[in-house]
Amino acid sequence: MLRLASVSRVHGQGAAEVHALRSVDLEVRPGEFVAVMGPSGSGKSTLLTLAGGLDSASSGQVVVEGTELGALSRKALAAVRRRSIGYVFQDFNLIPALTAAENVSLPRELDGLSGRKARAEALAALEEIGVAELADRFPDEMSGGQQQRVAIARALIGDRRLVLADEPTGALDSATGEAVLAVLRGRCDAGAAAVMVTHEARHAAWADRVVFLRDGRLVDESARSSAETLFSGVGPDGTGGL
Amino acid sequence: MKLTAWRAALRIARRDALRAKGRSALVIAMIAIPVLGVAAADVTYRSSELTVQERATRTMGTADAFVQIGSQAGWRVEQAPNPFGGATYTPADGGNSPSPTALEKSRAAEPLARLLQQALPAGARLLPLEQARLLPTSTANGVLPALIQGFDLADPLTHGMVDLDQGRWPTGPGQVAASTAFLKDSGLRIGRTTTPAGTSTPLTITAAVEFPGDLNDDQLVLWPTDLATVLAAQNTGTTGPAQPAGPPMGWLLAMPGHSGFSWDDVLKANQWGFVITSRAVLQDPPPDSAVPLDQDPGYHNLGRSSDPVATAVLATVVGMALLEIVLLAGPAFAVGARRSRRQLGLIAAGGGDRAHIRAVVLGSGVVLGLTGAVTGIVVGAIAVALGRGELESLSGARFGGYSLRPVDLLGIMLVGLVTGLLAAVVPAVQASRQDVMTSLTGRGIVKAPPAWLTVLGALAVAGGTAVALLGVGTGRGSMFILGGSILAELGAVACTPFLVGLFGRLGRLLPLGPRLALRDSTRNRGRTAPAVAAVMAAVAGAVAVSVYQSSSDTASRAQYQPSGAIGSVMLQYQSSDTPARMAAEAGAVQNSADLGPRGDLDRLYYQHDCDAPDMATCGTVTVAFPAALHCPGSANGSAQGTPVTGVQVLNKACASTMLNVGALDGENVIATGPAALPALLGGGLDPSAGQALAAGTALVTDPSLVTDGRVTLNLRLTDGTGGASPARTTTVSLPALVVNRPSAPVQAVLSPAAAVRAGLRTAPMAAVWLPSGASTAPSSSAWPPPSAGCPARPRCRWSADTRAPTVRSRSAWR
Repeated sequence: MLRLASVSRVHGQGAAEVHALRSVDLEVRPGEFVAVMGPSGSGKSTLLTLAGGLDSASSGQVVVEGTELGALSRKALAAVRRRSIGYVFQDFNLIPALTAAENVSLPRELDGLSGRKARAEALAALEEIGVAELADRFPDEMSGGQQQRVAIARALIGDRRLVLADEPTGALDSATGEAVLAVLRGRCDAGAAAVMVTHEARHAAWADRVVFLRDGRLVDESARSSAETLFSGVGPDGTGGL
Repeated sequence: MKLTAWRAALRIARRDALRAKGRSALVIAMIAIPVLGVAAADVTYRSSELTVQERATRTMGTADAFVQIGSQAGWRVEQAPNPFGGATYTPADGGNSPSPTALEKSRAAEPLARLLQQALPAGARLLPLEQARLLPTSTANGVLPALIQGFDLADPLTHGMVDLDQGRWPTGPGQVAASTAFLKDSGLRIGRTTTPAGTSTPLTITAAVEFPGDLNDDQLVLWPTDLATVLAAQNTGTTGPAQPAGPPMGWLLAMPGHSGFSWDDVLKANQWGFVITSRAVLQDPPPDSAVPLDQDPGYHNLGRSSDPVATAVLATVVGMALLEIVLLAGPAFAVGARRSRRQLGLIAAGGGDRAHIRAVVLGSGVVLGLTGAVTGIVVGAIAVALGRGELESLSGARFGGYSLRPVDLLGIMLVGLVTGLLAAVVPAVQASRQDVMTSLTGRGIVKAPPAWLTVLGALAVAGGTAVALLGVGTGRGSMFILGGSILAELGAVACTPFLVGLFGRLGRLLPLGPRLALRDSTRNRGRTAPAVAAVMAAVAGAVAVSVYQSSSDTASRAQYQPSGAIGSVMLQYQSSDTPARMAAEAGAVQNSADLGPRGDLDRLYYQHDCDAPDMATCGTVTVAFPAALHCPGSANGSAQGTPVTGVQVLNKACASTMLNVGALDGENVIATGPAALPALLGGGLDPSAGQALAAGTALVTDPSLVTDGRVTLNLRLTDGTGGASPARTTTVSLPALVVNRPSAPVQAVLSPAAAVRAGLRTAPMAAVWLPSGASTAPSSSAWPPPSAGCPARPRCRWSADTRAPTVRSRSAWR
């Protein structure tokens, strides 16, 4: 689903040069939920933006569903984002001027699908996430958790099978955050792939695999069981832990 | 981009506009206000536009046709089915002058009644509308010039031409209908009387009427026999031979049973020299092939052409206005796009490409432009509906109806829409080029404007200025000036980011608040530049207008010529006034106040009076200019009739000729006696001047016009039309005394006796007084203070052209 091969990203030039990522390799398979952890400035968000085609790598390859993003034009890259990749940010995820259903259906409408069909797909996506009753509400009429669920629905509408989430629970209380992660987990169990940046170990515990970044390098990688061990038995249900 | 994407973009734009109400209201107002003006003007124009039938009713009431004499009764005429626009033509044999046949000439000698009988269908009834005359008539406060007509208002044929407002129609002699404007201006009301000048029988006002096409004119409709009496009194009172009453202005025609006046009837009447406005023909016009006028090459050679320059100028002015709106509204869209940066970033992250981002910002332009345009149109239309009465009063005519033309309004709406769209173009392009991550994170990068943009802008400013100056230099350049201005303004827009950057360096010298504002402007040059350019253009325009007005004012002061001494009183006669009337008027003025002794001014002519009614030949008298006073670039030392250049305006000789010296009705040499000199030339004259004048010496106010103690007068005979035939000029030389009064209203003054001795003739022109309390300063080109010479007498006022208080003959007040 997603493959990063020797991906590096350098910002600035000369004295202002910053190596945000250094030769990172990562592969995410369908149905897999990968958490990315690391201290501030380690390159977590950069990895996510490169994977989502929001930024371009200085070197290396980013491949999404067999398509190398670096070889695409701006227009084609936008089309990949529209059809293959869904993004969930920490907050302010939704367009304030659109209702939940319109937010979810936007990528499909931009892609040329008729308004009626796009809305039908959006309602179906909201239904899947369990927030169908929010369809006609505007973002400022929803709680943070509701907004994040709608954002996840938008990230998965159509044929999208790759969800990139940048600290999706960062602005939520614990219970709501856990609920959002449960939704993400559920979508991955249904076949989608997800990469989530987080700095909270108990959230990472929901993932199948955790990768650790430090100073732009991938320094460690652990399977789900290892992560559970690593964080002293924090399980998917959130009990126990450090 | 697909339609569904546009729909999504418009949805976002619409909701955004609702969320940012303040910004939206600003942009909507900027677009709506000019649209409102244009829409109101359109609705007013269209409402005031009459259909042919409405126009026919105002012209001919309920009649079937309106009959008028063409160029000459008896001479064949060709006309359009709708002759309102003056589309008539008297066939000519080459050239533009009519060439009647022998038969037509013989017909012209026949009585009018006989011609009408032969030209019109049998059984047609005619109601003559006599020629209207503008004559003074008595009011509650004095006299008032009124347009006096004569026809039977009770005849139903006139209904629609004139509407009864109050009272009842006149039913016989001695009764008169007055327009509501006359009643308002005269202070009279129904039941009161008014007496036209020259008659002694008062006429009782029985009706207040309204002429739908002339709301503001002071009009009286007399019984026809009363009008004849009034005209007869006028004719017998003139100095020349009694003027014939003349044929009627036209006739209202009613066909038997109102059967209609056909196009064939019109063509027959044309053969006898009558132009017909037929209601039936207006309703059902004939094909072009049946209209001789359309087939006549002579008519088509008359050079009926539109004015493409005026159209182009109008288009450019409209374009300039649109550019101003675009430049002012653009920053509002730029601010909106910046405010929505994260939202646009989200759209991009969700798969929106550049076209989608552009569409969202352009959608704002569409939404706000459309809303502004519709608001402007609706408010404009409502304003016209509410202010209809005032507008009709201002235009002087009732509207035909309240007319909304969908095509016009749609066009205006499109202009508003395009304005909004254009204003959003630059912000849309800028937003679409924004990096996605920059949009999402809100980080901004200040970039210096590209050098090529600044250079291009500078070139455009220089080029536009050059084009505008070229237009000024060639003297035919409104298009050049406007085109150059637009180019220069666009150049200024391109240069502004650079200029804003330069000003930004001054920030360190400023206090915190202005420093922050300046830095913010510098960091957001994209929205700063068009706003600064728009303000710059507005200020430049205001400065240009101010400079022009100031220059015009200075020129007016420099070219000011008084009609007489400051504080003098002048009564100007009309050439048609009888000596008795002149004496009566002068006596009335003399007795109205303590004006002191009266002086009389006579105009001069050579052999033939230019003011005579027939004016077959005209003999003018002017002061000859010495060769040294030759106006460069003009023939015969006169600049009249030649293009005016800046050099000529500044040249004294040109000014003397070009300005048609003589604030006294264009006379630059007159005859008078010593008594009038103080009022004419001001006090302080050497007593010897009066003695010299009485002795036959000409007084000359400009020393440069005197050579070897003599002044030369040009005596020129021209034909009555102003010189189609070669003029004959002779000269006469007279002894002259210089009285140094360079800004006097005349260049030379003769005594009447000296004028007669020189072979000239005289005619009374005016009476003058110099009241004892008035200034005795010489005539001055400096404007007097408003209080000077105009004491607090209620009817004392500054004349528009002289700034000196004058009393004019009542008939000249028109």
